Formats: sequence, C-alpha cells, structure tokens
Amino acid sequence: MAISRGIAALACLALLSAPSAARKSDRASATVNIDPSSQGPVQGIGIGGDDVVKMADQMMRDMLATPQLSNLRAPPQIIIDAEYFTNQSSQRINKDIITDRLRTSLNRASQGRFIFVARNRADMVAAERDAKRAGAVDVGTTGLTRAQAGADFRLSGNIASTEERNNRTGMVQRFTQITFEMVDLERGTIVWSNTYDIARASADDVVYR
Amino acid sequence: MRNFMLGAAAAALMLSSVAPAYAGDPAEKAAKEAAKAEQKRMKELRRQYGDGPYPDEIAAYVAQRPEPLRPAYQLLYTEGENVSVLNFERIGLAALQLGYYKDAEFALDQALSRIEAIYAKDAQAEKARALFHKESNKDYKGEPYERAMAYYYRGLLYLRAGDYENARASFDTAEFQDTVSEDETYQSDFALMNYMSGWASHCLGQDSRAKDAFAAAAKANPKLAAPDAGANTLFVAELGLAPIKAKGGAQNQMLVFQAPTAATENEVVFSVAGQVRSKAYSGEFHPLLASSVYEQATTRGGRPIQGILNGKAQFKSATDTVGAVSTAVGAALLESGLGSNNSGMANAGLAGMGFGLAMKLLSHAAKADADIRAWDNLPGAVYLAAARVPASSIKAAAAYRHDAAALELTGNPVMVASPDKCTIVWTRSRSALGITNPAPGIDAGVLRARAGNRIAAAKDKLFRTALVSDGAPSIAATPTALAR
Repeated sequence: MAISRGIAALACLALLSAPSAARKSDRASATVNIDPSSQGPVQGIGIGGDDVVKMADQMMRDMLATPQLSNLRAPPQIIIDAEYFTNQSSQRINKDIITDRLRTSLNRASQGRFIFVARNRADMVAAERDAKRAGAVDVGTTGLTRAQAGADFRLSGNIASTEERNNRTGMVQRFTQITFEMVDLERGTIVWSNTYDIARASADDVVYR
Repeated sequence: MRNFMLGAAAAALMLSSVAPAYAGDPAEKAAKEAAKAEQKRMKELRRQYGDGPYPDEIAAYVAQRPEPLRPAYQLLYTEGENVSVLNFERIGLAALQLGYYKDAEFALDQALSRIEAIYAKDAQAEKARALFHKESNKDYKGEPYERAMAYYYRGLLYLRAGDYENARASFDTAEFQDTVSEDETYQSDFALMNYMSGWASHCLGQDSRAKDAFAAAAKANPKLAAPDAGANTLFVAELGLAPIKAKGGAQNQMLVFQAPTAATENEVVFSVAGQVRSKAYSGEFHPLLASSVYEQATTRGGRPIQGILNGKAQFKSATDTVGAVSTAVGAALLESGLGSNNSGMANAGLAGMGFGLAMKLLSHAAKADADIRAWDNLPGAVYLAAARVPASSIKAAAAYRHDAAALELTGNPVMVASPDKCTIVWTRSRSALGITNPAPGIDAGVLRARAGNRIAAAKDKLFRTALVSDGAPSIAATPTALAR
C-alpha cells in the first residue's frame, strides 16, 4: 500500500513537473508597426519611445500656454538642442531624440510664435555665409545679415534616476525624472520649467535573478 | 472516332499556342529553369538543414564581417538567439581589442538590449525551470558579474568617444548589477565600476558627484584613492583569465567557480611617451588592482534558481534510489518466485523490476544541470591608475610582472583615446581573440533541440534576418591603429 502511494506520488510529481505546451506568446513574431505614442510589446523600466513622444507633446503644450514665452511682442528666438541637456541617470540614451522631437513639434505647433535658432548647425550656416561673402555662391533671396541669429532663450534640462531592488522578490524599480527649463540668455532667469516623471517596476523571471 | 480526332486536334492547337512562345523566349525559359532549380535546391537544403541557416547564407553573412572576427560572427549567426548575448559579448570584447570600435559598440549594444529585456512569461525561461529540461534552455544573459562587465566595456567605448554621460550611465548600471548579492557585505562592492563612474563625472567636471563615486570605490577597495583634481588620464589594464564555471553537487545542480591558474601576472606598468611643447616626455604609471572579476563571481551568494535546481536534483536522486531498490527487490522476488514455482511472487518481482526501470528512466530524464555557459574572454582582474599626463598625442606600452618579477608576456595593443580633455589608456594582458569554438558550457544538445523545435527555429530565423538587415558594421569598417 505504501509502495503504491509512493508510486502515485512520484507519478504526480513527474506529471506536475512536465513542461507546459507552447503558448501563443512563445511564437516568433513578424515585424509589426506600432503606434509610437503607445507602449510597444518590448518594455523595460527606463525611458521608452512612447515616453519621448508623450513628454515632447506635454512640454510643447505647456510652453505654448506660458505667457512669458508665447505672449511676447516679438516672437522670441529660442535654441532647443541637447547641448545643455544633461543625462545623470543610469540609462544610456541619445539625448537628441528628446530635444529634436521637442524642437520640431514646437516649431510646427507655434506657427511663427517662436523662432528657433539652429545653433547645432552653426557651422553649416557659417560655411554658407562665407561662401556668399566670398562670391563662391550667389546671395539667396532673403538677403544678408550682419551675423547669425542670437537667441533670447535656450532650453536646458536634466535626466536623473534612482533605482531600487528587492532581492527577495527580484523586483527592480526605477524612478526617472526629466527636467526641462527655459533660460533667459540675457538675465539668466528661468522663464519656464516642467518635469516629466516615469516610475516603473518589473521583475525578471527567477531563472535570471 | 470523330470526337477523338477533334480532341487531338484541339490539344495540338493548344500545345502549338504555348510551345512556340516557350521555345521562342530563351530568357523566359532560362528563368523558369532557374526557378525550378532554386526550388529543388531549397527543398534539398530544407531536407538537410531544416529552417537553416544554410551554408550560402552563413558564407554571405560572414563575408561581410572583418576578417579576424569572422569565426566569431559565424558562431553568432549559426547558434541563434539562445546564446546571442554571449556571442555578442565575445565579439564586442574581441572587436575592442582589435580596434573595430563600431563592431564593438554594435555587439555590446545588442547584448545589453537583451540583458535589459524583462523575461516575464517567457517560454525558454519556463523550460529552464521544468524538470525534464536543462537550465541552459533559457536565453543566456549571464551571471551578474558578466552582465556588469558588458556594461563596463560599453562604458569604456563611451569614454573613448568622449560621451561621459553615457559612460557614467553604463558604469552605474554595471554597479547596480552587483546589488543582487545575497550577502549585504558584497552588495555594491564592485569598486571598479564606482571608480569608472567617478572618472566619467570627473571628466564632466561634476566634482561633487565624482567625489561620491570615488568615495564608494574607496569604501569597497581602500587602495583606490580619488585622483588629483588635475588628473587627465585614466590607465586601465585587464590582467589574467576569466573565472571558470563548473558543475558541482551530486546531480551537477550547483554552479561553482574555479580560479584559472594559467595566468600569473599580478602587476602592470604603463610606459608613456609623448611631447610637451616640442620636448620629449616619458613617464611610468603603476595601476592598482581595482576589482577581481573572480571575486565578483564568487561573492554573489546563492542564485534564486538554485532552489529549483535543488528540487530537480532531489527528484533525480529519489527516483534513482527508488528505481534501484525496486529493481533489486523485484529481481529477488522474481528469482525466489521462479525457484519456488510461485508465479504470483515471480509476477510481483517482474512488476517491481518494471517499476524500478520506469523510475530509473524518470531519473535519467530529469535535468538538474546548472547552466555553466560562460563569457570566456573576460579578464581575471582590472587594474586602474589616474594621473596627470602633461604630454599630448601620447603613446603607451604595458609590461606585466608577477610579484615584481618581469614576465615574458607581450600583452596586447594599447588603446589610447583623447576625445576631449580626458584620455583613456586601455589594454589587456591576455588576448580576447581566437573565438573559433562555441563558448564553454554551451550545450550542443540544447541547440540541436532548438533547431528541431518549430517555434525556437522560427525565432532563430528571425534573429538571423535581423542580423542581416540591421547587421553589424560591414567589412568596410577598418580598425583604428593601435600602439603596441
């Protein structure tokens, strides 16, 4: 009787330990187009593509709604690039992806209320100006200026993060804060600022912990 | 008869309307024949290699890669997704040593993107837990020290490119990998990563943050003092050989580490030559041991998966014992039954032997083996020195010693990069090249089983497609000249 029970127990254990059948999620997946503003099938705990789209949209709307920027008598000249946008987080990232998105979105939405200075392309502009003045190329249709455009404001910002791990559950959590500040380039004051926060947690499968 | 004649005439008419066009257009005929031949060839390839990779695909992919890295790229292409992180890591390090920096960046980015992916509800991970499958069924991500080293090498490449922010992010994440240690004493004790993070902050001019990181490094390794404020050059030397993974325990269920004994070097001296205002400059720098990779591997403590492997091992042992006992008792009963003409006893003996055999088979089928796939071209330890080198356009060479006695060890070329105000000088005593065989611990049986599994084979096919379409920098990339 005892032997029979033992056999049954062992058989049960073996059956329980048997690998489960393949599920839908196990299948290979062909390339699919996904909405850039929504979370895709691959998710981590850091800044994702959807965060970039959402944060650029949120910052753009907020800047347009800020009277100190959008209600000036003459459209302010603004520099938005990654030069003063720092990454102090533990995520490797190409910062241009954030500032490029913000600049282009804002440029389209502001409809002339903001003028953007392409300081990151100053060398390109300088080369053309030199060529025009040297007579190597003809003057364009908008005339010549004394110098390249100066800026009234410049975007600065920072990406910072803090991470925690629960070794018992394997849960890893990261809080990422992206700060945006528009600095008055004459007075050094901050005329607009905002933050975008991301807090995510996940646990890898136990075999990877 | 009339109908037959009419039918034959119609058939002849139809044939005549097709045949002349076919015969009259050699290009079309050739195309059709080529398509047919290709169809036949593919059928034969599928018969021989299943879903691939096929020899011509492998050759085409490998031919586009730099010559010294081709064997490693071939392993990457043929071994598939399951060990891609390991293959990317090996390629990344070999490419870094050779000066193929684009290849190194590509390979390490690929490895890190997979390491960072969260494997929740993953079939391969589930399989690794299952009683009748080995742990090595899971896609390789490596142990925490291996993951940390992947971030470390990416950080080195960022330092080389002058991208100090992403370098720091890499070193910080490397250090975070070390927080999984079971024993708090060993959590965040990877002094190398703290120091490298501090150096990146130092190069950024962020002194406060640099100070914190250097303090954390000194806490883990008191010999690592913060560099002087004017330090502009970081010397990094990697000595020795990678920790060796082995299986331990009665059922091979334990992951144990062995220290390699083939490498004895434990000191390094950098000789630097350059020019200061048209005057010759020379200097010697003696890096200190920052972190031992072997210690990092061995101080992690228990792995959470160990509980699962122990359970598998217990099952394996228990079924083996039950099988042995049942077989022995059954044999005795059978013998006794046959001897006494007791058919009931003999039948019971036969049943016992059958049960024993079944238990033995179950025991044999259970797979408790620990995963010992290992990043084999890692170093054994990393040495660091930071100093102010007044010269520009410096050249550096490294000499290796064992307890102050010089060694006949040529070492490898030295990478010197001065992208900005900071210079990074990096080298290693042992070569990361010679990747012609699969990494140690790779289970050929697991890879074969993947090839026979429709889902896994499809994933590997997608992996190869992605490699070809988004692939590594092509052969056009040339290595940056390195000083020896």
